[in-house]
Amino acid sequence: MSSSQLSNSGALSTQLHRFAEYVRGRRRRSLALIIGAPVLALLTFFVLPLLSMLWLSLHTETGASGEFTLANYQQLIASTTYLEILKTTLVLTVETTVIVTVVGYVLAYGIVRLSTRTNLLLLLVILPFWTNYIIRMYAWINILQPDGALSSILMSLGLLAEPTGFLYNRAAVLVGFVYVWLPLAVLPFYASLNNLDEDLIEAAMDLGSGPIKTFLTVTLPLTKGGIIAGITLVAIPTFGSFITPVLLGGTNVTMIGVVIERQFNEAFNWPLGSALGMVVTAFVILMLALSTKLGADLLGTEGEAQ
Amino acid sequence: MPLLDFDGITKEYGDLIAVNDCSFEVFDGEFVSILGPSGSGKSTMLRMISGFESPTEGIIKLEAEDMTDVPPFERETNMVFQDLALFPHLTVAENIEYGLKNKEDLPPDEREAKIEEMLEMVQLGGYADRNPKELSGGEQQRVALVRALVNEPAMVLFDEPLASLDRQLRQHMQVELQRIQDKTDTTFLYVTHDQEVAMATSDRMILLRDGEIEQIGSARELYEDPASQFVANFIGDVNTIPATVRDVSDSALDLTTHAGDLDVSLSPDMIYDGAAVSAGDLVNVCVRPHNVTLATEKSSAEFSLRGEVKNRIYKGNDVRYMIDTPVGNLTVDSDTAAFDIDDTVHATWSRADGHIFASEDTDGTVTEDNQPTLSVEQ
Amino acid sequence: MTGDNSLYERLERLAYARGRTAGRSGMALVFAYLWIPIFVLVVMSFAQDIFSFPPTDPTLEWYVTFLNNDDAIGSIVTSLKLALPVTVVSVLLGLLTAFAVDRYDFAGKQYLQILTTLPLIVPLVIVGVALVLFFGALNVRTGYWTVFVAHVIRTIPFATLIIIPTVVSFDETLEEASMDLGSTEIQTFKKVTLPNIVPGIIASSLLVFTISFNEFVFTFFVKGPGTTTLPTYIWSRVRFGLTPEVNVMSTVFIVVAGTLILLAAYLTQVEDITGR
Repeated sequence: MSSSQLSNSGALSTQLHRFAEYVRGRRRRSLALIIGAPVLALLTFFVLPLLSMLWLSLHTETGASGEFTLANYQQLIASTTYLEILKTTLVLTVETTVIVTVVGYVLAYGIVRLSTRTNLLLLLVILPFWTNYIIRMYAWINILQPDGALSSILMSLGLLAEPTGFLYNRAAVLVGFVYVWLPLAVLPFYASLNNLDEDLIEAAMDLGSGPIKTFLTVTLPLTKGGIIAGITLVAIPTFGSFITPVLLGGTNVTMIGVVIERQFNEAFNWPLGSALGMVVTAFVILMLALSTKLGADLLGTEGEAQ
Repeated sequence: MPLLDFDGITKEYGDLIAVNDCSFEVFDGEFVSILGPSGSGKSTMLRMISGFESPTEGIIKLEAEDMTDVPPFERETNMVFQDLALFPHLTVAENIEYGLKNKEDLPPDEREAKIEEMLEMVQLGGYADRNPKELSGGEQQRVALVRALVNEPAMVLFDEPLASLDRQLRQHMQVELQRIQDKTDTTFLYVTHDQEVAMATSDRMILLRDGEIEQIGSARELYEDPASQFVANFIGDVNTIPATVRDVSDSALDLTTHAGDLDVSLSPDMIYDGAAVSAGDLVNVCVRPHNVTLATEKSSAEFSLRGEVKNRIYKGNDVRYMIDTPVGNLTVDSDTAAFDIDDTVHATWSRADGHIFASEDTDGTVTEDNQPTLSVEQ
Repeated sequence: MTGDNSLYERLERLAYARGRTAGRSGMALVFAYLWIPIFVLVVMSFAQDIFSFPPTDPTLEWYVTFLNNDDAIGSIVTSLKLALPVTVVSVLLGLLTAFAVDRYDFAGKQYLQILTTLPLIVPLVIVGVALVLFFGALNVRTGYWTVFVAHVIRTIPFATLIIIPTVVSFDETLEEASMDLGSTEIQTFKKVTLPNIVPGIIASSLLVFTISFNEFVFTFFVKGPGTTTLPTYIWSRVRFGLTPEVNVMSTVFIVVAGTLILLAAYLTQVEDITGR
């Protein structure tokens, strides 16, 4: 190496050393260095976009020429169409949540108390969740379409005269939702049920409660946190969903998420879309607040015996 | 008529036989302990009595009714669990009330009064509205006890609840348990591996080994008349001297140890576990440390050994000596401190205090796993 | 007490006697519900046409079509060109967050954790359109980079949630010992810290990769005309051109994603993913 190169690398390493010293000196500085990138990324590309959506919902158009207005929201409240869509969305969300909660809880209960190979069963529940959302919906299209698997089976059983389709209605959308969210809900149910001390159940039975009463007086209260967490985990994405209603419901089932997508990609009425987006956000905030108040417990730390 | 009739019970888990054809009775008002090392089947027995397991064979009767297939929530027994299992989402009073509500015998205000009365009985008066999390270990124990007792069951079952307590608290609770059992005149069935607890509290003890009943009797009977080597080892301390049968006749049994003859001639019925022995068999001669007398002169007692004092431990109410004899080390508890290290002594004990058991080993060394005292090694 | 026969008591006895079997049958039904659609999907990938279930003449022709389908293969390449760098960036950001949470105490630590988890909670449509808005307002052209950013935001929560427990359970005194023996921070990190948290890093990498590879909603909104990932390609086929080739793509997808997740699960033990 030439002497100039040597001295250059010397200068660089000195600078690095000084930088390291500088950072080492203060915890604050090293923290800033570490936390800077992730926080910046999230603030810029997550919080800011959401804020701009809020802004746009209250303005006539993007950019400097946009004027403050409440017209977007007024449009939503005034129109019966949008209120209908909101109602459909709410009803479907409630139905999905109820079904997923009941079925998911039973499944989780079975995995915890009725079986030995818990890890295997959990994996079997979770694996479908990691396949592509569209593919999971497509699987149901395969089954429910005219001449699809369901139609063929029913015909071969003599229950159906000719090929029928079962798609493009609310039931199909519901089936799709339950299929998608069931694995997710099972997780917090499993966590809280698993943490429940089995001795508590035996104590209840020893003191005269049959299995049903034991479930109602001991198991359920002590797994309440997991149930609330599961409900929240399901209700929120269902409310804002658009893939499932489009693929399985077609034009017959319109939910808020579908309308939002249309406003952005087809009608190009971004302010209105933003207003709708804020409605969904309001729902999310409401659900989160409710669930925290009611004691949602994602990790299942309640049911330990004393 | 016995309160509990445990008749011919066997419990198998596939190839594993946890309980093998056991039978016993418990009478009203007794404090009975089921005692044994881990794996002896005692917990399994308790679970069958409380209803959480079903026997493979046999019948369980409570108050003369066949209970074998009755579910736990319909049995007249209540259990105090090892980890207490107090409901964390209920207060102390609600915990105790839980069983009462199921019985539907008492209206709410009478229930409340009864709960408070029982809490007073265990010195927890005024604790009704507290949460179990706030209580100390001893206090939680008492709540668990009251939760079982308040239902006035035919029998209260205990699954080693004192195991997690420190020594002092445990001893205090032992006394408490006895007092409460006496006062309420309830039948207690107590499972434990700790012979000290069992001896301190029970009217009768059932000693289990590998799923079979080794002996049933009072603490005194098990201590002074152990039915087998296992019992002698499990309950209290014991010296074990391996010996070989030199000669057997209808009226006499001659024993010899590796150091020479034991200088004793016994009748064959002195083999305590009823095993028949012949010349050449191994037996164990056992004696409790406090049944051995030390003297400077040889006496006329049936068993006599000469040895030297190797160690002396002053224990307050008595002195423990380690005596080195030709047949091995002997532990002796004596109330005299007269002997010093290196003194020559004669250790003697009478026929009544000497127990002889057929040895389970073929090489003369004793291998019982619950050996409280040093046994003689070759 | 025994022998009472009120309705309630008979119900309880029935539940006690039959409860376990009923529960197990119920479980079997649910597992069937979860897996039969996947089974149908895979079976139909061997079908002649989409409307004959069960397939009368199993064939591999659609697999061949798929392999010759430039658009499909191109979309896979695009997906990979996104997923791989996204994984690196996301896991890195997750690591940084994990270290900050584990090693430092600062005001607002809770908010940081909430911030990193928020993208999981807010419905995807909302964030998707918000991103479109945002990029539009900044006049950023939609394309590879907008999708890249979207994928990173989508996956940061997962990276963080998996790596944090790994970092937290790593014993820092090992690092102190290393530096006490003369190594610098960087050397210590390379030789002591890194090897110990590698399983968590690998598991979260597999998870992030899978999510990015699967990602649809964000991509759908911010992708612009040129960038087609496999999920968006499948979407357009499902909407407008149903053939067993879609089943083929689905099957390939399932196999790949399944393998990756099994690997990740094996590395972390299922408990960590379920959050216990």
